[in-house]
Amino acid sequence: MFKKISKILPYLAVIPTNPNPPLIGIKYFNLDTFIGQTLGWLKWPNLLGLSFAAISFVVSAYFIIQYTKGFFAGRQIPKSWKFILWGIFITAIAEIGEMLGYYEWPNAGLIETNLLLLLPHALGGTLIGLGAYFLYKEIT
Amino acid sequence: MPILEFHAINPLSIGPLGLSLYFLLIHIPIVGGFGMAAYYVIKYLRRFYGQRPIPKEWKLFWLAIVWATIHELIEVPILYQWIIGQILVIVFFFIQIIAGIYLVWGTYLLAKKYSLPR
Repeated sequence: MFKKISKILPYLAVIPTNPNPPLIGIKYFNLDTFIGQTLGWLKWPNLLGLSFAAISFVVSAYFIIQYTKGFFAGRQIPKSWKFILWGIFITAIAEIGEMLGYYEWPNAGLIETNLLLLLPHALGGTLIGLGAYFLYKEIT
Repeated sequence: MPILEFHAINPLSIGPLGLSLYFLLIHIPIVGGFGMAAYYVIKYLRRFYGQRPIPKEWKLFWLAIVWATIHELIEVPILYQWIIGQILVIVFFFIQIIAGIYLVWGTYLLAKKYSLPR
């Protein structure tokens, strides 16, 4: 199957990642580039968009805490909302990791890529998905 | 950066096969999790409210999850460089802003209704 995919899509990335990435790539962090491409006039809009996404997840996690405190008022908060809250909070970490990964490319550090970007993103997405599933199951 | 370019890049060429597979497979819970959340939140709202109108805060919260799913989805062609260019960065910018606004607005209204001082 992999050979078949390689025949259909034979090309390597435009700016491939370093095959021997550093453990931490913060010294390669460059606001002028995005996935290794020079941003030019898009430098500040891109930074604004990425920062806004990360901040909005943090702010919404705060509002969800307020909502669950008020709505459940002393009663036990159900599993669904705990999962959604943690999912949103962990996705906020992933959004910060995403900034590091995009700006450090092609020398994104292993720690940023895995512990701040890919794993929190996967965990956050899974928790939000499961939380919404439990929310639905609680009334069916 | 070009205006817009499309490239047929092999997703299994990002590094050694094991690493490339890890990168590819980890996107299933990322995109799938948010997609699953969008699907179950609307199912929950339809079941819970039935014929009654869905409150604005819940509609916004659902829209936030939908836009967050689009946000996660567009990151796949960005990461694999299937699409590169200024237009993609601009589209990505607007998706992030829209998703962020819906997320903060929806959760703010939920909190305001039940907890925050009016």
